Amino acid sequence: MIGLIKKDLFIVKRNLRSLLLIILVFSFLTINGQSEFSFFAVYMSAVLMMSTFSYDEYNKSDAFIRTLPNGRSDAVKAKYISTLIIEIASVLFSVLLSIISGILKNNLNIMEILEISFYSWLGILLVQTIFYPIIYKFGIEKGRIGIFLSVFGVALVFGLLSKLGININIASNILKSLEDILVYLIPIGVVILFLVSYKISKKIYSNKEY
Amino acid sequence: MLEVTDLKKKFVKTDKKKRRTEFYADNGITFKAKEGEVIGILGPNGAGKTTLLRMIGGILEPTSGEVTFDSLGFKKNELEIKKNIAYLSGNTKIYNTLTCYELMRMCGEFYDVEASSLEKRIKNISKILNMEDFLYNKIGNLSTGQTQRVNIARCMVHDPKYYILDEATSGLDILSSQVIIDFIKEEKKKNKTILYSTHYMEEAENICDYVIMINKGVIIKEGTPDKVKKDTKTTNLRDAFFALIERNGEDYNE
Repeated sequence: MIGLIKKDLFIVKRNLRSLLLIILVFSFLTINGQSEFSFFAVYMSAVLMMSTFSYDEYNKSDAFIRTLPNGRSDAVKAKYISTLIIEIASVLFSVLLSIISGILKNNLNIMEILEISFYSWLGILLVQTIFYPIIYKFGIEKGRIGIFLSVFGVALVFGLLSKLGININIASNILKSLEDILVYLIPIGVVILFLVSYKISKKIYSNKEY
Repeated sequence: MLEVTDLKKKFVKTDKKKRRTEFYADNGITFKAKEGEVIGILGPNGAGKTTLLRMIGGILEPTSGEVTFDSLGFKKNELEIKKNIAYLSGNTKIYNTLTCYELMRMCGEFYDVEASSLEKRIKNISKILNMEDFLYNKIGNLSTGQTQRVNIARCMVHDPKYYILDEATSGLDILSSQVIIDFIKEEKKKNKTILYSTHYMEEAENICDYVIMINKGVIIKEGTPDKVKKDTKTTNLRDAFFALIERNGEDYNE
């Protein structure tokens, strides 16, 4: 399984330089502080992980991977572990850049940086949690469309709500009143969903025939 | 020794009217392959060769039947067995953004080859296969023949006991396919067991010790190439195959 994780990290490494450059440029372009940048950094790492699926699919790796001395579930496990490794690295990198940026702009707030980075990561992880089983079932192309639609779909819904004059602050206020509980519930919920997603993906992959 | 016993694989196909029908791609295949033997799995496209090799290689799960390697059942000893197998398909693309060296290293790591011996093996294999000039080149930039050598190299890196080669020369020119044939002959000398599927009968006649002819998922004839020719009163395996199909009252264009 370690070989499979290394494979994913190796594929990601090939695109890493261009990714770091994009993140670096973006970190200086974001003027209003931190939120867009943290989200962007983690989002890009998720895109990188998606590229490993594309790479595998293009190379018809599934059949090849099944000839390797791994259990069937190891291929899926390796993908989920690679996801965590790459995204944690990305979060740490974005935190580091945010601290540097905060010092340079003289508005450093470490707690805010950690909070935004962490919840940005959870948000992206949640999207992946939902879409990994879809990717395993239907392949990367349909999965990619799904992610695109979900990310921009949510933005569209919020845009439409505010255009229609519907006050989205009510929902926001409710969430705010539950903030103390949600701060624990959201991470726990994402972790549980992540594990459920892994189980579903494993089942799909095991039943799939190449 | 590899033993395949009554191996069956059932698939479901859907026709134009969305009706689902079950069919057996392989239906009761049984044979043995001893050490140092090259076994040819022969038959036309759609005969069940790839399905058979995929079941033996662990890519597909059989519907029923058993595969054992050195008396170890595949299901219970899958990981141990896979360490001794190399599977090469004519359809396999390899990671073309990697260099040959990177691919071989990666494959060595897949099979837990120790880092110190892995380096030696990569050097040795690249020497044997004349890859030294392009070892550090990206696979995507190589010629078909060079790519085929890389494919072979990644199979050899863990020094397997069994090779499963599925249509490995399919679509290759005469020079590129010769690389595969030479490789098979060399590995046979090392007492490796090789399962080799092809629809090129002449090629099989040249390198196989034993041939198994498959059509529509069942074995229609097996034996040494000489025995198959003798039994069918033909002079080559191609004619032997046609004779067998005609004997069964089938049209080979079906």
